[in-house]
Amino acid sequence: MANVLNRPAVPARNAEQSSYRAEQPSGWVFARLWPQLAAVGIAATVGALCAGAKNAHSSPLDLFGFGGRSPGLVGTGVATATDYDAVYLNPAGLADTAGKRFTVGTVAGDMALYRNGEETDTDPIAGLVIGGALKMPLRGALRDRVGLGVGFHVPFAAINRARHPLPGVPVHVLLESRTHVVAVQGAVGVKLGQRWRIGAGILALAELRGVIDVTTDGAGRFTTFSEQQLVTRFTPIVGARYLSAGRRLRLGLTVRGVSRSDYDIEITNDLGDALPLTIPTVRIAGVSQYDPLTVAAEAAWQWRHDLDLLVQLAYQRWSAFPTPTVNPVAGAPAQDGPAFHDIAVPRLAAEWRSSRASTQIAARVGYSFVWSPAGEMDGQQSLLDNHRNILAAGLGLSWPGTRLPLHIDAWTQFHILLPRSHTKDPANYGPDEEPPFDTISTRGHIAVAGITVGVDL
Amino acid sequence: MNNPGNSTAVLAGFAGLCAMVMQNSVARGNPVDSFGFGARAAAMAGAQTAASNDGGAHYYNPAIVAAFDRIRIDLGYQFARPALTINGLDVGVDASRGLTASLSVPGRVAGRRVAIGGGLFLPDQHLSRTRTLSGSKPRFVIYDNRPQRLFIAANLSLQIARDLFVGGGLAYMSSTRGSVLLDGRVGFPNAADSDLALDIDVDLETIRYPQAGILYRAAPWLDIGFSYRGGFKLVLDQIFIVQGDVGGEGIAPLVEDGFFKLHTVSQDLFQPAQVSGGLVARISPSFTLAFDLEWQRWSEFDNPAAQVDIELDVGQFNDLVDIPEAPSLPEANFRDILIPRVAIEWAPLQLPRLDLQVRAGYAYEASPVPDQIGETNFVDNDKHTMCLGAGVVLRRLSTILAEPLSLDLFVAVTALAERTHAKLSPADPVGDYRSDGYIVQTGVSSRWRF
Repeated sequence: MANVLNRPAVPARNAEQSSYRAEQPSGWVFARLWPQLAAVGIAATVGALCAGAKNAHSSPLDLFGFGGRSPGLVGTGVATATDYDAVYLNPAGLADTAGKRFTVGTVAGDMALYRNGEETDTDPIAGLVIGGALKMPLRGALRDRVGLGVGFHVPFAAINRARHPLPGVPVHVLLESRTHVVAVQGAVGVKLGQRWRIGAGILALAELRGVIDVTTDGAGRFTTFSEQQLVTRFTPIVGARYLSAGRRLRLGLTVRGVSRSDYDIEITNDLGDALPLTIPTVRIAGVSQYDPLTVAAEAAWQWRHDLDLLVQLAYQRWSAFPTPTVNPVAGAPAQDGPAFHDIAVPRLAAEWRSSRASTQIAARVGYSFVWSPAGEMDGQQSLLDNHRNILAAGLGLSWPGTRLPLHIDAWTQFHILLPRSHTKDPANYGPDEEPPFDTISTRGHIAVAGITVGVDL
Repeated sequence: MNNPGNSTAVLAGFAGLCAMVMQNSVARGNPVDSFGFGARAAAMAGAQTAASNDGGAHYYNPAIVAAFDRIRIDLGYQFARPALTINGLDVGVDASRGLTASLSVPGRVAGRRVAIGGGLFLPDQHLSRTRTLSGSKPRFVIYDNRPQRLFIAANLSLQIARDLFVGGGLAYMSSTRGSVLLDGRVGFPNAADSDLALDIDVDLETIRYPQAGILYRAAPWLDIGFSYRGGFKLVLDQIFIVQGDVGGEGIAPLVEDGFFKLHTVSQDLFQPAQVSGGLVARISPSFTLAFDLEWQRWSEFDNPAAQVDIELDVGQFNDLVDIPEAPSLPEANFRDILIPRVAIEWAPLQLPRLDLQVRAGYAYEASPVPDQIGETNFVDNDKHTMCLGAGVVLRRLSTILAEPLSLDLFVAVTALAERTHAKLSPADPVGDYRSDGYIVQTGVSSRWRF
């Protein structure tokens, strides 16, 4: 019978064993390990193929979820995650992590976005997922109460991307140019008793600031001083979880702060002696990555001993979404704001568990509907977005307590962008201004998949 | 003064400012290379290829991590204050300070010892800093910006035989590639009247470089280690475009559809490939001797000045624009170097609940930079590093923390031997100069076992 938590229990390892003698696996043992070895071989092949894909250009954490289990459940896990994925979903879950586990995986997918029937040139998705969860072997009052977790999403090429066209040019701002950014996360979870868990963590991003100053040397030649700094920006993630008696009902609540990465380079000059006029200060600035303040509440109900049902409602504060780029010259007319609005995102999922000999099996499905936070783009901005239906499925195989205690999770999601059109209002443009389009229609779909392999140490 | 040529000067000004962007980047190695990782390692002058026994192994030799029998979390803080002078004047090289952290998780898979973990040096002012200065100005090419960046590495290690451990992993850096376009109208005669919009497409790309190590327990009292750290060159590849009309708002433009494009490629950061071998001999239960010999491949260092391509079209004023040709870049001609390191660790006090340890070390690092007799002005000196440190191991602190806790501190001084650069040409604009200085370092670490 599977453990009521989302992971089978792992026997504690004897970390004090001091023998240096390494045991040579026999051929018989290899035969016993063939399911794990075959699964690892398939996972490695898929991972290699995904690594060969073109540069990743999106941030999966908010779009698809994090880890190997949650995306197969359409991003749920606030009430159930206890592995490294809890650093993003709900740090409180780390309080129930079992033993020591290290996981590596990959994500790959493709976006097909259409504007007026023509597909945009959007690069595929590819990235590496790394995670670790650890039950802290403390003693006394803190025995079995504290868990640590780390999680990384590393795009195979660009770890941050600032990409935005001229203001007014149509762009799927939350999909094709939202971000391509590395995610570095760490968290800790603590048991407060039989029922309650709390946790906290951080998500670290980087932003670029700097200055370039142009002047002349004694010989009248242009010379410069430039200094640019990459600085850290931290986003807090806090969570709580409640487990009912018998653990048939689990409730979770997570609050993730605003996650944003800015760039801001100011170009100044002192060329008054070299040129008979003043060159204005130019500022190259904007936002390369933005995830809104998110509050997610979730309930997981153990319908049967082998079947969990999950329902989540998440609030996202998109009304604070900033203009993607700043006017480079101070005197230029201000841009219209994006005028996005807040949304609530419902998610439904189910997980069925079974076992065959030493193999634990989990099958997962999920559905979500994501309202677009973008309004009608009838003004100067053309920040396009569509409502999305999301279908998810996943499969987990694990061999806990065996000589090779592997945990393999695979998942896939299909996002259907509902058709939408925007019509410019000529009243929003001056007599000499030409709207970038009269009416634009948008639609599309996203297909993405991932696989992770974890091992208990 | 209203001069039609001034409009071209506006575009030329943008050309000039960006032509010089990154024109003279400086070499930037690894802050951990310069000052060590962790207080114990720094007190032992970095002689840690075989002697590391804490999270510093994630830098010095990843293989060692598989020999741990406890989960380890190390946290520390390091500070280095340079006082480097040219002709007796302090050139103001910034201090380096930041947090060191590491996590090591050992375990067993299929009966074999394995371990995973990682190490981090996080400057507390910024993750990294790029800085460009005038090409003619002498600067300490390795120290000027060397410590001003993040170090982060992740490793996997395992025991492959009774006395043999291997490990490896990746360390990460990033480089910038992309383009910036300003489109609209460049104001004339009032440049502040410009109306430009921004189109940006810039990637911060991942650079991964490998590191690996081997540890062999030759005897109960003798360990031998080898490690490799990959080198890298970070290249900044940037395009800057300004296009549009030149003139005032609401009037016919002086220049229609003007265009300027600047493409600059420069070496921003450089780390030499490094191979080190070392041994640690436990002469007695309280006395340990460590020795390392490290080779660094500085001969791969390129002149960091930028390669610049400019395209310009300002219509009828093209003939008025005179952008100076970028000079050809002289070779840097750095050379490979060997760095010997020696250290001792002595435990004069060993009690049931407390151990006291005292450490000392010395390292000699020859400069890879040749005499600056020509156009270049890359300043560097031979270096002697002398270190002292102490640590305590505390046992049975509380019922919660049953495993020992170590606290370490160190102080070190790197003395730069005086060096004089005599120019071949008496007309050299910089002239002869003398460089020397010192760097004071200190730090503390805590090592937690679980």
